Amino acid sequence: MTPFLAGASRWLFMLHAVLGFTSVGAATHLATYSIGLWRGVEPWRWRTRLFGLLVPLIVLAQYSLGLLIYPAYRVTVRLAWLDKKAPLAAALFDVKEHAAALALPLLAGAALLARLPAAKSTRAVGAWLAIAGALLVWSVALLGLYVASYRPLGGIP
Amino acid sequence: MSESLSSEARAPRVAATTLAGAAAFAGSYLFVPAWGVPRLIYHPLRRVFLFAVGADGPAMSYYGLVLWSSLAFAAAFGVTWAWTSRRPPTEATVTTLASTALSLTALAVAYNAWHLLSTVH
Repeated sequence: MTPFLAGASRWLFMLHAVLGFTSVGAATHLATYSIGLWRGVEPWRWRTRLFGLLVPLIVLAQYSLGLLIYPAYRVTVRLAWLDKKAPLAAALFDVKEHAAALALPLLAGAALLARLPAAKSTRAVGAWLAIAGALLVWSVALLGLYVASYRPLGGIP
Repeated sequence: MSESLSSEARAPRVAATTLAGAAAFAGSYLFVPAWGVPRLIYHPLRRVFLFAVGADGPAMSYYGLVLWSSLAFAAAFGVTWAWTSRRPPTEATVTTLASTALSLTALAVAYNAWHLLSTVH
């Protein structure tokens, strides 16, 4: 049986890539502004609040799309190519998927704290969560690029 | 002004509940595979969901792992939210929860990377 959404996988993969880089940008902005707010740069408050709203929306859309195209990847990329020709890339993809999931609660915490007025100690917690979340999102994007350089989803069979 | 003060007082509680959730999420990520907890598994070629401990071939246990971890997040979030309604968290509690959540997340990433990369020949 053909995997779920395999017919549309190339276009969905492109959208996944676009959302991925948007996630990297948004998470990096949230981390930067959260650090600024923690260090007392009050004019950055509205920017922190803005990215506290944008980051969950973008990252959740990105992650949900990833979950939808995962079955097609598993069969048409992993099983057909990577397991035989590039097992390291196949393993790194799994590392990436786990890093993506583990970034979600950290970014949720950072985003929630970015939306609330808080004392300096709580701002520090928000900043650390945003930094850790952004580092994970960067890792996910770079590992995804690495794997796609071997065999992208939607490639010619 | 009063709204701002009330929000400022709410921030440590939000921080504590989210951090407890994040710690539970990462903890579940470590313990579900280690303890061999049965989980939802999707078979992409047969297009069926199963409930089992392990997955072979193209079968995917990732959805089940994320589902268990999300449930752990929700449970820890709910319990901590209820607990902090009577006793607001102190700065030390929030700091401890932050250290725990970040450490468990780093450990879960490192464990998965080690576990997956060690199988590559």
